[in-house]
Amino acid sequence: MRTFQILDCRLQIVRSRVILTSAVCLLISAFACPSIAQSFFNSRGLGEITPSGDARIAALAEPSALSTLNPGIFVDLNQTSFRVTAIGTAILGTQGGNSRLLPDARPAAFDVATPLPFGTCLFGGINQKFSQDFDVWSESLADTAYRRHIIGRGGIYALRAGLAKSLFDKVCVGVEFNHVMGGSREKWRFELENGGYTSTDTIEVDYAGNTFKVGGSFQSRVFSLAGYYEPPLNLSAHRYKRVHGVIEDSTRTYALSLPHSLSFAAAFSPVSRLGVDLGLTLNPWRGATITRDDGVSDLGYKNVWRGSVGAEYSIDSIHPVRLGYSQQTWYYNAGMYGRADPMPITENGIHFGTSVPIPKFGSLDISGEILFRNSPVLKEAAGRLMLTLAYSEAWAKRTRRWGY
Amino acid sequence: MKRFAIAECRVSIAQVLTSGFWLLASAALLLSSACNTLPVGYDQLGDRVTGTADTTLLPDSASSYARYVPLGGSSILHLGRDTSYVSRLVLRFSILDTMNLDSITSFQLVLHQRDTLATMSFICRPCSSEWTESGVSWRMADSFNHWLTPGGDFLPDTLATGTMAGDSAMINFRYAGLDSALQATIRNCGIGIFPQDTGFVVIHSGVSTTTAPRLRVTYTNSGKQTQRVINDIADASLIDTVATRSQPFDLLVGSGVAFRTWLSFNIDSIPAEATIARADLKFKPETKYRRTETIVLGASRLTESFSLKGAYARYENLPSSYATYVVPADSDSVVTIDIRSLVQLWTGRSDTLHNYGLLITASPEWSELFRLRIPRSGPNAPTLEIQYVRPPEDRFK
Repeated sequence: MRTFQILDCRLQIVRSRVILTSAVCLLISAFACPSIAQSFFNSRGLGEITPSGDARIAALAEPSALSTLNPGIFVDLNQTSFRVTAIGTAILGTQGGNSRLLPDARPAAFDVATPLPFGTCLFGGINQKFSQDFDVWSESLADTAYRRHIIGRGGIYALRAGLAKSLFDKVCVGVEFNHVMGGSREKWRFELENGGYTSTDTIEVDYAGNTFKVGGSFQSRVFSLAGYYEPPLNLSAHRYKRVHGVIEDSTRTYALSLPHSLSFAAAFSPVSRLGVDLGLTLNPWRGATITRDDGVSDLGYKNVWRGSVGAEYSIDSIHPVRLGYSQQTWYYNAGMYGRADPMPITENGIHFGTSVPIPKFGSLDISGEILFRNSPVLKEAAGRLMLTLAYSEAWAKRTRRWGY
Repeated sequence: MKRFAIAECRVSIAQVLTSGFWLLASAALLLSSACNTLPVGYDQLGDRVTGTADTTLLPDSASSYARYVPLGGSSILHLGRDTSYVSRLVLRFSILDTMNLDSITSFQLVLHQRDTLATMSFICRPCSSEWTESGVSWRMADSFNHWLTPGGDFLPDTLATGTMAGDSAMINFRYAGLDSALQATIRNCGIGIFPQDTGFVVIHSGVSTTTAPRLRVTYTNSGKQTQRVINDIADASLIDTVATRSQPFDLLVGSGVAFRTWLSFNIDSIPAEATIARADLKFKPETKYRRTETIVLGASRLTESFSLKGAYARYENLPSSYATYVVPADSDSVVTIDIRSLVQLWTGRSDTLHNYGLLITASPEWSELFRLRIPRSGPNAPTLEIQYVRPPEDRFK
């Protein structure tokens, strides 16, 4: 019996090593890949709002107030922790009977938190807020052998650092400073039918801005409540346009103003093995404006919300399974030649995942998502695989605590 | 128990194979979608794309000139004469003085022609002035010196007579019996070959070693008959027009005697930042003379002002674009030269690269003889049809 237990233990260690090695390989390959989650809708607006970059939260349908995006989530943090996340995406776009796949892999986020005296903790990280990656081809231009191939790469990122204070072992409040920065580079190529291209127009935009975030949470064994508030974000955008590499660059500066955001979440654990969560994010961005040399104008964004419901069930003490459903409307409309009427982009998602404990390290959180995005002109079906390697200073059995 | 375990294992293998098949099928389906370039999502950029604009321009200036161009280094040599052109050849051989000429038993000139059905009688005479292959033309012996007589300076002595027929002509050549001064002249200045009949033959030049004009020398060496083949080291056609039957302001393009047409289009209306999607120079020429059905034209960019320098304005030696014009029976087809890259250069670099216009030439100018007339006005006159695309709008409008 004892021999059998030792063998079983050795087998588990070998399995864990294999999983850990695979995860590290995946993470390294994702970090080596230059491109980011793409969407055929990303050529508009500021691009897709990027998920939190936490596989555990993604598997529960992204209640972002329960993720590390909430500066007040760190109740009872007693060990230094970090997590690094990679994401792989495949998007199948369908329009007018045509379909095209955009596969992708990339690093998603890095978060670190460490406890300080007096129940405080210091945390920071980097994550993407908006993705502007896309890759589309035009129809053949009339009477010519040329087609346009437009490749957009880039996004807007938040460098985050903050301080949180835990109260009564159940409550936490936190504040976070965000330096928002990023850029996008669009290449508008004239492709020849026989391959190659004749000329390229390039549009580059650099973004920069600063903002902060406040959040708080109440967490008990049975019930948790969390929320955070993000005040309006003012971004300055510098645009450089280079036309087929021979014209002097033309530059332009914009000031983008994005109204505030709110995110709430509630979690309920009626029995020890089961937890249910609800999430709501509000982005009332109808008032988003752009300031140029010639004045201020509306960006045409909308007031939108995102709702989610998720559940976690522990098969045994260390093997949880997670399932969730989300629904949202994008903050900008889809576009189409010659049509000015609004064409909303709606998104429905099914989320699932699990965690694999890694002895003396932490855990590997895995999530899968299937997203269906619909607009009157274009449909997308996206599959997303997210891996989060979570390290805790001293590994211990994970309890159902949000944040770390 | 063991049997059960094996059965379970087999089921597992079948399941794995089935799963693998579906995985591969799904991957193949996804990959087929990934590799295509269908216009999915292009609508989303609709309000950023400015669309295409078309414009048709007429030349704001046009002119034509003729030039005796050096025809050395070409792959063909023209020999003949008719009511429009006359063409003779000059050839030079190098190593005639390295042999013991007393032992020569046979000295022959060998020429190969392209069209085996053509015939032409000809006569060879010694050339009396030195010339260079890179500079020789009807007027010039080299880049700096004129012939004393246009068409070349030759001595009256007849070195050989013969007829070009079949794929080659092999004629006896007087050399061994000549006095040493004349032999030296032939060595230094070469020979000229003059047509005796009406019509033209196209002879292979020294560019191809197998069909180059050559001397075949048979001589006795140590009592043994030896044959030696000596390819020419320089050759050229000297071509002149007899009658062009054209008006002074005709726009002509032709080979042999190079006729070149200069056209200038004002493209200031096209924005500098536009991408040129199409730029077709079109005209319907009138064929004035041709010895071939397929005519190749080139369009070269001028690097100096034609208005200031006229026929001496420099241009890029290598044409920017080419067009093949197949002369139809009814002479009713349009020449279209794609000059997209040229127009893009003019519009995109207008600050550093001036638009001096373009030169339409035969390509190459030693190609089989032809002469086209481009109408100056009317429906057949040159037009430049341009389609261009403005750069995309910003993401934030």
